[in-house]
Amino acid sequence: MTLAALFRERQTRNRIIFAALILLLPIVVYFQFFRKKPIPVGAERAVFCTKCKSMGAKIIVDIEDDKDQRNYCKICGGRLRYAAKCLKCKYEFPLPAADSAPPGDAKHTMDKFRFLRDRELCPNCRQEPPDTAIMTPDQIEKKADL
Amino acid sequence: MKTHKNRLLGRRALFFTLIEIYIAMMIFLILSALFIPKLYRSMQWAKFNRWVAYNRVLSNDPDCVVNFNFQEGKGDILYNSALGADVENHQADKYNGYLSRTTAGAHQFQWINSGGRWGTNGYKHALQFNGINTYVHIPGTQGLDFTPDDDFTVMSWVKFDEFTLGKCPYSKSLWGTASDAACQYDIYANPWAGSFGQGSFDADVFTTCATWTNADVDFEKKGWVQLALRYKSLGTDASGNINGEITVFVNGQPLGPFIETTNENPNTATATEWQACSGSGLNVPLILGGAGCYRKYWSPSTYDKSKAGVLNNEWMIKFLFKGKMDEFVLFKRALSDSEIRAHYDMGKE
Ligand SMILES: [Zn+2]
Ligand SMILES: [Zn+2]
Repeated sequence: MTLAALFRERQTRNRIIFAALILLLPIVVYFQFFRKKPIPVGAERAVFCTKCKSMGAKIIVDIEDDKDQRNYCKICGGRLRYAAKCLKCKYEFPLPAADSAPPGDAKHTMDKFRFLRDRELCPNCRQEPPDTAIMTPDQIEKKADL
Repeated sequence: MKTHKNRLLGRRALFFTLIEIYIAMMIFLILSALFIPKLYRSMQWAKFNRWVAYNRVLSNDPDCVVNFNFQEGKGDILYNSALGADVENHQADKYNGYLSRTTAGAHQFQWINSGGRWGTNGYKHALQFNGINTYVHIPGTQGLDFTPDDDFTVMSWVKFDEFTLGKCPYSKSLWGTASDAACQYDIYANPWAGSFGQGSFDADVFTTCATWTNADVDFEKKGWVQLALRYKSLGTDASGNINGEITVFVNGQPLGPFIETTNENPNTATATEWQACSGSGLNVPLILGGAGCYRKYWSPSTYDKSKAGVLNNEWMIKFLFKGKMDEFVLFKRALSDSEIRAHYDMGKE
């Protein structure tokens, strides 16, 4: 039977249309009611690939989110972190993750801040902030497409 | 003959049922495709309009000193709509917010039109803070400078991109060391309550640093959050201590009792630390999107000892908020639980 013939028979044609509509229904319902909201926008930040050491500018929502594909390098798949730079020795480095908790004795919030500050120490010369600084996108000289 | 008729009827009944369902579904699909987005839009529009009307009521409250609705959608200034505050010589525009940058140069804020609540249809705008150099500077201090004898409430709608330690939506403070910090009021994320367990927010009010460990908000969802900080003065007791009640509300609900993590600066009438942020001290401004800090501790190499007492030498901004802000309102009275709840109910997505 040709396709045309199939459509000439009324009942078969109706059944096909009916089946198509049944299939279409969940799609329409999905788009109308369950479609995910647009991804949060985030802000453009200077990022550093911990694997291939490239640097670039990228819209980042939450750098700590391991599930977000934007936190991975497009070139090598390595984990991206915010880029920081030592103003003294010019060494560029990725800011360590903030997800590890401070030492147990850091009860006072100001002590925890001290721990946060230690993340920004230059790995090369141990210089402290503000002489090490988180970079802005415009400070990167060679921007790779990460 | 009888059987044949019945069979025909049966087939016919089935046939018409199919046709009927098919037509009904066609109509349903066409109507839903046509009207559901419109219905959704009009629901969002209704919520938005209800909010606009409600927000106007807030602005007309004589105790409302600052009200930013973030509807500018462009430019460098958040315009204060609290025109009628009962503050001596009140000029609302003194409390406009200036989009600023911690280092020299033009601000790097991003306006996200349609990025606010009910924003997908273009009604509500929001400001994206980048967590690296963006903050909003409010030059006026008179109407938002408080002592432990005053009451006040700060409410905002924020969306945290990152909920890590220190991310600070607003402050009128000078953070320093455990034994030398001066705060009037601020609130910040503290997901590490350390030995206290899983945390949520910390708030500093005068000489108290309060930590809440009962996180009622699922920050994984990264939705809009109504965040309110309320201080109610309870007066001075017999031993000269000024007592006050600090409450943080998240989405209209007060967080439970807090843990006081600062005992270094007792909340006494003689404690003057908070005054460093007031008119009698440095007059540290209120800022959105970061925490005011003592430069001498946080950036000693840029601190100039010969310029002691000069605001920009003493005060710098750190702990920058990364996320969006859609509303900010400050009252010089303690709002009731139900008023804060109403702000949430009117403003929720
Ligand atoms: Zn890479
Ligand atoms: Zn270095």
